[in-house]
Amino acid sequence: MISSYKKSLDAAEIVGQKFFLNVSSRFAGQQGGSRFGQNTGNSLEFVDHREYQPGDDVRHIDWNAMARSDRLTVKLYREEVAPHLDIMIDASRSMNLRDTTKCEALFSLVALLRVVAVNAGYTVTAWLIKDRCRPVEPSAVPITEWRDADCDYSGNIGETLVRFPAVLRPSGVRILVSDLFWSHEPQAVLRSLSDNAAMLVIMQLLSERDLKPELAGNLRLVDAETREMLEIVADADILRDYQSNMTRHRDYWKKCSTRSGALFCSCVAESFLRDFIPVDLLKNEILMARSR
Amino acid sequence: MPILMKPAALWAILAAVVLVAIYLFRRQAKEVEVSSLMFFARFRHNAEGGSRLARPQAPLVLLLEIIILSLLVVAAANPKAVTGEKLVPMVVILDDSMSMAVNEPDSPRNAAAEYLQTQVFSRPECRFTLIRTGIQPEIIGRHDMTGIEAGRVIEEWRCRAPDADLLKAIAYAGENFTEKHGVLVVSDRDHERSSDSAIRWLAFGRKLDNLAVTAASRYSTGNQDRCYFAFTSFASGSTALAAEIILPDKNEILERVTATLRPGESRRVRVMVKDQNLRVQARILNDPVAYDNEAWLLPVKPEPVSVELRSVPEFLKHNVARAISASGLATIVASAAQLIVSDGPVADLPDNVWQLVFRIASQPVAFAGNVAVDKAHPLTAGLPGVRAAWAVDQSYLPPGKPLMSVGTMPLIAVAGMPTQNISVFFNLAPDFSDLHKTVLWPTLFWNLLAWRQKYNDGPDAFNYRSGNEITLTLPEGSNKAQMLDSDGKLFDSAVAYGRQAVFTASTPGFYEIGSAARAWKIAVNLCSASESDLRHAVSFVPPHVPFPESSMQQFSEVRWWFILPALLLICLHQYLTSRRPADVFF
Repeated sequence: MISSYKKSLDAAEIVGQKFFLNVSSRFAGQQGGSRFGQNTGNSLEFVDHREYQPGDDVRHIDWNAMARSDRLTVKLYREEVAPHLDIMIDASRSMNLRDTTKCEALFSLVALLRVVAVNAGYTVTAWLIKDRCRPVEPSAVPITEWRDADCDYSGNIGETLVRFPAVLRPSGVRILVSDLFWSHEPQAVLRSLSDNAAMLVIMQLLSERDLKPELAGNLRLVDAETREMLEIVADADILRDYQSNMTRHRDYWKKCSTRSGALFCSCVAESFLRDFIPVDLLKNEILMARSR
Repeated sequence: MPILMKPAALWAILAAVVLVAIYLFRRQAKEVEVSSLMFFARFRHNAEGGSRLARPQAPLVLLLEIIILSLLVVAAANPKAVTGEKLVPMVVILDDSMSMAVNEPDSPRNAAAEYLQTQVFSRPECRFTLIRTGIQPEIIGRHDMTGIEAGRVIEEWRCRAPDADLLKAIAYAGENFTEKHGVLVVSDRDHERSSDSAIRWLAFGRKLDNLAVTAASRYSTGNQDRCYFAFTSFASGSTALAAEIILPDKNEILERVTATLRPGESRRVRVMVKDQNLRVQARILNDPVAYDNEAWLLPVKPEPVSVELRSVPEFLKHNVARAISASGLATIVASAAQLIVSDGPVADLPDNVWQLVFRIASQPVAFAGNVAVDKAHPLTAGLPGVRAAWAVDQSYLPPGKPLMSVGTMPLIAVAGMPTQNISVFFNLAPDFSDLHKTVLWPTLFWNLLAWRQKYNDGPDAFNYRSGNEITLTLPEGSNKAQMLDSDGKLFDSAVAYGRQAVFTASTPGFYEIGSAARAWKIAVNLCSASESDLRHAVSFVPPHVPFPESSMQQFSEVRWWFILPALLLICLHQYLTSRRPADVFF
């Protein structure tokens, strides 16, 4: 199925080359790594002197400078980081809603995130969330060659994340891409994901049909995941209630994300597939344009 | 097992078809897949359980709705069933004869009504069925009434019948009610001895000396009417009678009757009335028991039968005309007759026209021997036994039923229906017979004309004894008749059977019976010796009525048997179809 999205995946990767993942400030205090961070750290590369402040590592006190100036001075070195990105992919049926480009946008976004992370020197692990959280092995292979990468799970993603959490790398950046259309307390999910994370981004991916369903007349609504059915006569009241419920649902997720220190972003599948630019991530400076 | 009192309500079950149709129609909804139904939480009707349970839920709800509908429909049909309450069933037979209304307001009827109200109808455990017994028993009100209902219905007991056939009423009760029903007979007479312990007899009568008019009749003798009255004493000793027979329209006394009568003795009086258009009244002047003290006789005016003599030999014609004239019942006309006398069958006989056909033999033979006569037939009833020479055509076999025959040779035969056409065949050679010289000849004609006259438009008589049947022959084209009382109110109505309608002369008085545009006045007189004889009236009133031990189970309304489960199922339906709490975390 994913192979049919190859064109979009390629385009997303090309667009991704223009950006990099800008979350290095989150890795302060880490011991060692393959890349220098934006802050001072424990690498061997000297940056500057400054006066000692309480809490500074006493091992960095420059005793020679003290002897010369009689002032307690410490040496500053550049920090060294080993950034890692975990992309959590909601593989439930609702992400593959019939007659929408939601699934295509999902994997295109994943492709883009992979590229922007690599551009920033990150290692990347993609996780498909179904009844368990399973890493895609190896993550470096093209998405079109991922095994078992269909959005066909009919269970509760939130429950999987809480009951069977993925073994994520400590101090990594984690991005959950989902429509969040599952019934589980967000706090528990966010607690599970943000545990020992450098940063957590909740990326809500919706289709325009999710945002503004065009329903009219005598309808039998079928839940894409549970196949549960509901017969309604769609009218303005029902649509208004739907919009209201969804807005409250999203606001609640935002509120919980803020409390958990996570960043909540959203993306509309159809808009994303037009230019492959995740506007919300750019606005929040999670992605940054690369200088030419 | 409940019995449905209004089974027509079951037609409402057809609403289930509409219900099913609505479900089928609703199932035609367009299917749309959505990411999640969680935001439609308010509109959700299906309970949790996922797709495996969602599908069978609609039929379950439909099934529930059909069951609810069925229960409500059965409840609407007013179901009744036997419940545990034990009731004592009673049949009360009420003597409706006029003797029960003697001496108003201290009449046996009033005494009986008061006793029933206080001693019988006050028993709450009893259910009463009232049978009013006149000439025929009839149920008044409904079956198994409460005491209060029976107390209201008893007002319809007015005692206006000329007789009360209590035995017939008891037999009626025995045939139509179970052995559990106690029977209470309310009368003014001594009770009939019966081995049936379920029958209790209450008598409220009082012995009274009474004089009564027990017979009254009037008939025409040509140019004047003869009236006959009988006055009878029902006193315990010799009683003086003072009565008079008057013409009330002229205020003229025809005859005064004074006599001393022994118990049970009758005084018969005959008077001739020259003016045949006047009413005659007989009345007793010295008897306080009034209901049987007078009798009225109205003018007797039957229409004469029109007879046409068509192609009858001269000799025979003369004798026929004489017999017709002597009867006083007919006139001879040239055309449009009701009876045609001829020597051969008339082709295409019009409706309601009879014919008398003489078969005149050219070579007649004479028979000697006994003659067989059907004396039950109106044409040959009352024929005197005389000798006559009767010559016949041996080869002639008349159609219809032989009424008089000698050996195997019919002499008189009749075919047809009285309400349409009657053909009377006389196998007679008049030249060789002497029938016309005997009393048989005018008698046969009188019988024939009287029989035909009965089928003229109008009643068969104008003065009736109460209890007799009044037969009215309706005018052509009419099929119903009505009977009005002296106040002009409708007393009875009847639908014609053939061309005749039958009423019962139940209550004494004047009546007008009519059909279409025609009407006739009639008088009904009591003239009932058994009803006037109050010497056998007795009073037998026990202080307490022994009620039967047996009881019956009451049929009670059991709508709640169906409404209650329907309400519970409605609650279940509501539970199944109500929205569940939203899954959305807001």
